[in-house]
Amino acid sequence: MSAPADAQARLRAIDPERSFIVQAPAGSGKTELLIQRYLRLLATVRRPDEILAITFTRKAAGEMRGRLLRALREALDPAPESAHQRQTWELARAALARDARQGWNLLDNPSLLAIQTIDSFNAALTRRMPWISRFGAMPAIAEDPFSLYREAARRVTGRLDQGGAGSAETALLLEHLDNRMDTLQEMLVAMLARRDQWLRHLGRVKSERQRELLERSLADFVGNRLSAIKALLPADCRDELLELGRYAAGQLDAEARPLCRCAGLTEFPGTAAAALPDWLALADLLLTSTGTFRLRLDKNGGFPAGKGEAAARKTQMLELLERLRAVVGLERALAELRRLPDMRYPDGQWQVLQALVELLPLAAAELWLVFRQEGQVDFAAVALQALAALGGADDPSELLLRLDARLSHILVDEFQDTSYLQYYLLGHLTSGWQPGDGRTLFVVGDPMQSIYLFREAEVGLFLRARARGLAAVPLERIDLCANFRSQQGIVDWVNAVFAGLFPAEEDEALGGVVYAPSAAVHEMLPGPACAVHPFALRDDAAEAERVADLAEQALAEDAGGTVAVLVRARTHLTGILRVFSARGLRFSARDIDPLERRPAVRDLLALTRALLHPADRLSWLSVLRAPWCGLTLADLEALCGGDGGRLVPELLEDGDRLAALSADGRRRLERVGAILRRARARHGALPLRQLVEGAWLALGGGACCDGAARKDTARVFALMEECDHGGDLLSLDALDEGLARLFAAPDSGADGRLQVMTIHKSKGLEFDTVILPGLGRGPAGGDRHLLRWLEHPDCGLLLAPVPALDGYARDATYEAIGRLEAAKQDLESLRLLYVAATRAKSRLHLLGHAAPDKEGVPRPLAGSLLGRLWPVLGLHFVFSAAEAADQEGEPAARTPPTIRRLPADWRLPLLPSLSLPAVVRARQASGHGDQESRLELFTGWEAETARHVGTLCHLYLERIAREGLERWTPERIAGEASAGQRRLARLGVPAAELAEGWNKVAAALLGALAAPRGRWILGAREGAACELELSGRINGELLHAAVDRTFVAEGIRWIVDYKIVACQGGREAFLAGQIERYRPQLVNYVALMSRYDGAHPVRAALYFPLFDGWRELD
Amino acid sequence: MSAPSTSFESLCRALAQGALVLTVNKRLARALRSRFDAWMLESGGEVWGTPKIQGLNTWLLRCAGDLDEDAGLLSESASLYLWERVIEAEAAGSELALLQVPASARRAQEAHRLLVEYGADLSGHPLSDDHRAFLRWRAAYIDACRRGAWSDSVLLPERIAAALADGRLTPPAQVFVAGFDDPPPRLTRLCAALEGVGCRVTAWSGLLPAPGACLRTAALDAEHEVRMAARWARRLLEEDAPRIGVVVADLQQRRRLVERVFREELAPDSLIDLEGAEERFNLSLGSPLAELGLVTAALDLLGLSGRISLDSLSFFLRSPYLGGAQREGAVRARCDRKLRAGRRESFSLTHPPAGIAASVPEFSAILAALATASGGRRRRSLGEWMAAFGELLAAVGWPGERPLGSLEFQALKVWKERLLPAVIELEPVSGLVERDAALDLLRRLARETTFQPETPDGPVQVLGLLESAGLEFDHLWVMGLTDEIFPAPARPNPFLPVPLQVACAMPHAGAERELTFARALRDRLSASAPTVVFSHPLKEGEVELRPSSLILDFAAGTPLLAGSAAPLAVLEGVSPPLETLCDESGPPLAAARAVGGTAILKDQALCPFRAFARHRLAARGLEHPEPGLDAATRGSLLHRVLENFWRETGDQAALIALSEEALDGRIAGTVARVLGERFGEEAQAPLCRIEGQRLCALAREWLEAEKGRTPFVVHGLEEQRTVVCGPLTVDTRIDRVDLLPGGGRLIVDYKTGRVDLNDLLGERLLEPQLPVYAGEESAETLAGVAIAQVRRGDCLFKGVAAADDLLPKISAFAGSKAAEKAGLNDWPELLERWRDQLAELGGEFTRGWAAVAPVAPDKACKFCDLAPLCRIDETLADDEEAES
Ligand code: SF4
Repeated sequence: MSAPADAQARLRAIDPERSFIVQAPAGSGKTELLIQRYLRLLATVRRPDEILAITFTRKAAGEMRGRLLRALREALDPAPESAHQRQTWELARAALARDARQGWNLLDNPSLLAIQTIDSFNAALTRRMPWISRFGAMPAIAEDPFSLYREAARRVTGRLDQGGAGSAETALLLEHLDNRMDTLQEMLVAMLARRDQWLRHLGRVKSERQRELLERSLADFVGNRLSAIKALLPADCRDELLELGRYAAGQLDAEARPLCRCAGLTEFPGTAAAALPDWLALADLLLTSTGTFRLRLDKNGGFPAGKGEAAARKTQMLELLERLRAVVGLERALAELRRLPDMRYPDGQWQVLQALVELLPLAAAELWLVFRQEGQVDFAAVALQALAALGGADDPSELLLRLDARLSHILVDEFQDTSYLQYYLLGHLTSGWQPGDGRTLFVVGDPMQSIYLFREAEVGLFLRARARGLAAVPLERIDLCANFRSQQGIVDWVNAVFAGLFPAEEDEALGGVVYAPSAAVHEMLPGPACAVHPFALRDDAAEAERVADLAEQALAEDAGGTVAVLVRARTHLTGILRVFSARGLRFSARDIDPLERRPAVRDLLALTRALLHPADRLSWLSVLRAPWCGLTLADLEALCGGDGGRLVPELLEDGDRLAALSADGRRRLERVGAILRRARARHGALPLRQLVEGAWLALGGGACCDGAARKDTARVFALMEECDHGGDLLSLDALDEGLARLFAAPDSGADGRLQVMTIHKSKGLEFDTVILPGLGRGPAGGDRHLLRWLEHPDCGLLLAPVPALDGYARDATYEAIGRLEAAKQDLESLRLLYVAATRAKSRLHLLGHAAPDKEGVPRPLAGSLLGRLWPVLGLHFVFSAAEAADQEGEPAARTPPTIRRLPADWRLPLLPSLSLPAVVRARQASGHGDQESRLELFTGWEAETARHVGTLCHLYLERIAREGLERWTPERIAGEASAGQRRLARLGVPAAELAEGWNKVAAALLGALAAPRGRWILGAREGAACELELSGRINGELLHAAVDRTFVAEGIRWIVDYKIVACQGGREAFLAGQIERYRPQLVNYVALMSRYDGAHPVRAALYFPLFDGWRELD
Repeated sequence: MSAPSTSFESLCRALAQGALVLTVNKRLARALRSRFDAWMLESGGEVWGTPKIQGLNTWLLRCAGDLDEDAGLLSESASLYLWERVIEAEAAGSELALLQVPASARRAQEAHRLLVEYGADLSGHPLSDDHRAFLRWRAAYIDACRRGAWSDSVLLPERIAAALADGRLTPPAQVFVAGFDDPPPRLTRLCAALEGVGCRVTAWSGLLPAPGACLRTAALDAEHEVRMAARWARRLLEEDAPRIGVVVADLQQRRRLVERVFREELAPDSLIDLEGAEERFNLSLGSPLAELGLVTAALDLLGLSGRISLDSLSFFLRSPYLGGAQREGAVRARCDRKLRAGRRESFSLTHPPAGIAASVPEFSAILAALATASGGRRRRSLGEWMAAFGELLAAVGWPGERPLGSLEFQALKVWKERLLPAVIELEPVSGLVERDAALDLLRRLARETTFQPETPDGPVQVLGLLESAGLEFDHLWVMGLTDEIFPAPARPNPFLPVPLQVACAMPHAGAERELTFARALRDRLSASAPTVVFSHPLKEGEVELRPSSLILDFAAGTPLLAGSAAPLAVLEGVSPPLETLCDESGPPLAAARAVGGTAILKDQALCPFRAFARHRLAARGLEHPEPGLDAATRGSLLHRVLENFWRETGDQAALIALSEEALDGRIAGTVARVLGERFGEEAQAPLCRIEGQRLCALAREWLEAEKGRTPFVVHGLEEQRTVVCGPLTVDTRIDRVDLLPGGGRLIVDYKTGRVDLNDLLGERLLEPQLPVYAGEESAETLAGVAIAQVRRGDCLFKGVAAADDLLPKISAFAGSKAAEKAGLNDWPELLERWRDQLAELGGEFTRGWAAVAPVAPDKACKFCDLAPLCRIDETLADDEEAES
């Protein structure tokens, strides 16, 4: 392979002294370039974390890190042959040398490489700034932030009933929205999800003065459009136009039409917004009411029939129209004039806007409180707080402190998909950078592949940075053009098609990108690179069959080749996947099939709901119909028919009903019913997943699932763990809601050669053959938002609230912004096509339909991708009438569906649990039986305090014995009151009971000190010990014991156990009861002690200091 | 400190002679103790003094007690709580509430401890706002300690060291320290102090004299990795291996996974018996107490106040942990179904829906008890609150009537013996608090308290990286060693300047330190057992992972594994093929008359299965709460308004005769009446008021449209009829019948949604209500049937008429486009066709015909919740995308 055409540019891009913006079209090998630059930078920095690389996805970050480490590792090997690899190898060697000199140990410590997604970089920032970011600590990122948005929306609209801030606004908006609370909440949710975009605007809209500002933006916008038209109008037409206008206006009866205004036009209108009415007059002169250039002229248009001047003027006008018609884009631009926004907000709309301006920040504030309560946030919150934290640093030294590292070099990948928020963040990070100060910025991307508008990617920012630098950093432009991916045929086709379709000029506002051609590195393959497969009518089945043919053919032709079917929307794949399955073609599909619609998943959900809710009749019936049970309709009717009142679980216990079942049905129900009964009885006691999974396995759920279904159910089980609320669900619908965002697992049996996915998912991938079906299909409908806004580079912020939902209201501003959004969308769909087409290495197939219009001419659907390609592909769509008719298929005959079920005699195979060896386990000698401790648990609070009082008494008695009786006077005990109470508090005695608790302790101690028996026990003695801990084997059982007090007196080894309880009832009876209660324990003590101290006979007793009670073990 | 000793034998000898062992945690203390017991038994001992093996912290506290310095000591959790209060006090003034106060407090407390332990301070370092905030909090914290006369437990090691030095504490003769991978300065200094007074201090590592045989193995992903380890353990167990260790580097993240996979592989039958039997392995991490059903229910109960959402009402109605949950179980479930049908989002706790008191009296009493429990602004001590909570729980019958299982019983024990005391322990620091604050505290501690079911000290132990310190195994598996976790990325404390932390070599300060630590850890682990497996996952989702370079030197290979015992693996290959069965028809209907009205016919037309399931099996899903007023309610309100209006007004002439004001007045009056009937007092609530305005405007718009019609008299409103459709007899009711000038009758049905005329004229009769009603009329008297589409901005009639000009914009049926499309000639033919269609539908239903055959998926299935029962997804996947 010879050096690519752009070798020079690639070399320049590694220069560590300069900042660059690199346009890297599809297949241009930009990752390698990034790696090379990274390696080069490593050889220059003091610490590796001076370099920050930002990637678009975690996957990309992982790949980049992997490749970088591999390059570094390979630098330990001998130099490679190829010149290209050799360059990387040399760069890596230099980096390694630096590593060795600085002692970084990069290979062992790869976390030093700061390669991150923007999200994880933001998270790291906030983690470093707990107080400034107001996070305190990095919170968890919510799996499903929408539930949090919903809660915030609920709370903020809930203010309607409570009065106060937000109440009047909510009421106003509800009226505006036809009292649709659900709509209002949904709209608020949608707004909260995008608050990173509007939050910063709303501060500006608070006062009436701001109305002026906003209205100025509107006026600027109008002016902007007028300038565009003026530029389009050939200068030499203007005078003639004015003249004809005046004439036509003069011919009108005093009718109120825009055209009349022409009468007073002495000079050509300017481009200030105020000139709009003049322009509208001209538009009226030129256009019909539907917005096309007039073809016929009549009296209504100011050109009455007649001879002489009338005829001449008419001819003149027709000629002028002819000329203007030739100006590309003029017709549309003139027609658009009629739909330009008003330059003033109608008062009603302004009120609504103000209500929104009040309410939306309140909603955002509520959201923060919801975050706080749940300890979870969304990515936007992290980004917003990170930005705020960086933005709040006024001087560079504070910024440095906050960043906690000197950032010298920043590399950004996929820069075309940058959002405003990220753009500002980069601005902060590079604030104060000077060209030539050794710090560099390196951004790479392909504006032609910017396809994340729906995630706020603004390709205009790429254009802006390239034109004017990013914040303070000027960027040198580098354009790559070598394509290392596709054969020349594909590259040529793409060049030919897209060069004509992409706009001729850059447009920052709408994201208009000029096409940059590529040069193929791989040679042309024989045969056509690209094939168009036209259909006359939408026939998903026929198209799907063709896709399958093409896929099969491609797979057969190239034994190792890969084939990808790429679509704009998941739903376009439904028919295709059905045909693939029918033909036995195995494919991998990622994030295509909604999980909630898989039968195995539905069954599992039904089981869950049935176990949780006995009155969920639908779920119970579904459980009985599911494959593990498979009751027939007749049996279901026999069981449940005609009795909607009783619950299914009740009916399952009804002998008469069961008797009416078929024998087969009865057998099935017997097995299934028992399992359901058992599981229901454990509701709440086990985590939800454990409960449902256990029941599911027992029922045979696992036996009804194939590999893919098992993966699907595994995801549901995982979701159950997430949603678990004490073995149940907080809301019964929580699982369904969670499922709505999940997709079925890819077929594990597929070899990966045939893949289906959305075009968005295919970004960055490549395939030998690419098939693009469904190009003729329309786009999904857009959402209505509470607020539309647009940051226009020339006109500032455009803002409009949703029009009233009363079936009538239109709002010109709202619609105008909508049209701008649509225009952006239009440009984006072209880029989407570019991405799709450039995935192909060898072959590309395009399929789509264009139905004939009234005249029989095929026309693509508005908004379809085919529509975008029409100027180039239109010529392929020529159908004979027969062909068109041929394509109208007959509906297929219905095949009666069947249900699947386990055989009636199915039984779960034995599951081999391990039995474990009995392990020696020490037992507390003082342990009670299980039964007794169970009872204790239900005694009241006092028992707890008593327990703690006992504990403290023991501590003091030990101290008294240790320090000596003589040192413990009643005064000293009284003096302990405060410390003693604090000790009780530490043990968990509530304040209210401290005094009483202490009194009891003191009473016990005083009692012991006063009584001769107490003094005998506590006094200094031979062999005395407190809290003596013994271990030993008694009757083959390992015991641990702690003896309260032991000593030798008169040759006898005593064991004394303190009991801090008052005497209840007769003294004798009480003591007798106590000794019985503690007999097993004391017996154990004696047994242990007599082996421990073989020299003395051992006796044991209980001592009750509170009433000087004493009872020996007999 | 003298050189580390490794022999367990010598440790035991010293212990028997009264040496003290200080361990890094209680787990190691327990393990050493049981090994000592075993050693004693082996060497023939019968009874012996329990060896002195203690966790370092326990020992320090004991020393404090001996010094009589324990009374004012602030416990770890009380100190943390104090930090929180201090931080909250400051954060209260800031614009945006601090999101995670407890977590900040923990980090700040840690920063404080680091400063004390390392004897460091911040002077001389440039400070950021975060550092300054910390210094403020710290000053406030120290001040609070001083004011409360509490001693900070962070200072305890210093004080103990001092007491040792000046002889207030008698040192033990010999001390071993065990299990400290990274000895903290407090330990080092304590040891120095001990040695200073003549104590012999030895580190004990518990390592084998030489590293074991080490193997490196790769797993596909985390789950596969855990499963391999579990199968490896199973094989060893089958061979009776005594001590098997599984160390999981990221145990916190993988706890549930580990628990589940080990259960699947070691005790698969326990999955199915649902008893929550004892585990056959010992997992060092427990789950939060708050996650247990019994505790969740208690916390939720205590948290109720003001309004109760339908979701949580439903949760309590099905919870087994409330009084009467068994006795009233079925009724409660039915009650919930009814409440849900109302679709309201929430109810006032003091005025719950009337149906509750009537159907579930016990539950109603519970709600009443809860309603009176809220604390308002009253401030009480934590102890009092906990007592009050206990009483409230008892009053609502918690923890229910069902006999407690062993897990539940243990949870209750932890609730009572650990959780409540832990809250009350904070009382001295907290002072008097409001009920909500007390509850928050309880809730939080319940989340932080771990619940570990009792498990036997079996041969298999699963632990985290650090917990394994000092333990010795016969077989060890260490997993999760990717280069992202091992060495760990630096995690400096955000409240201290990083250079300071690096200079002091504080834990986690920098990558270099983490690397050194990780290397030491690896060496320790590889010498903890004769055979050690190190493993790493290759992927996490889509992201590729790499092994830690620290384990690359070990030989790659796969250890011997037992066959998988997990149920799904066992089922593999032994499951019989599923039967298939074509089952499209139920038994014929016994009675000819069916309850359900025209909805039966409509369902039958849309999808036969739907009619069978809904009307024969009474298959109904539960409804969901909806914000605001749901569509059904709004529709019925409109029906009522128009009905009432026409009852009062009578005919078009009267309508036209009304002046603007009179018309508005009449509409407003009618609307007010209807709302009052429906909502009672709540009709004054803002939402209802707005609905009233909406109804007025809509009714007005509609009536304007009626003014433009040919004159009519409203003849009947809400009339009921019984109609025969083939073999089936159904009851039906029609919104309105108008009498037209020629005497013709016009049947009208209001709809608030968009209407498709095709539903009346198509091959399948999807809108049978009008035709059913019309079935009784003759072609001569019936002038037309129409759906009145009452929608803002889109009010019009859609229907068919016998002649022109009977309805605005509707021409005579005969010869119309619609007729042509339907292939009919005239009006009588249409009526005839309807009769046939209805008879056909009635016949299908009576026969029990129940095929899953929706007319068009977007018409039938989109608004049908029966998909789980009809199993439509199994037969075809539909396509919902609509194109314009
Ligand atoms: S979901 Fe569709 S197929 Fe199933 S019962 Fe409802 S309408 Fe029929």
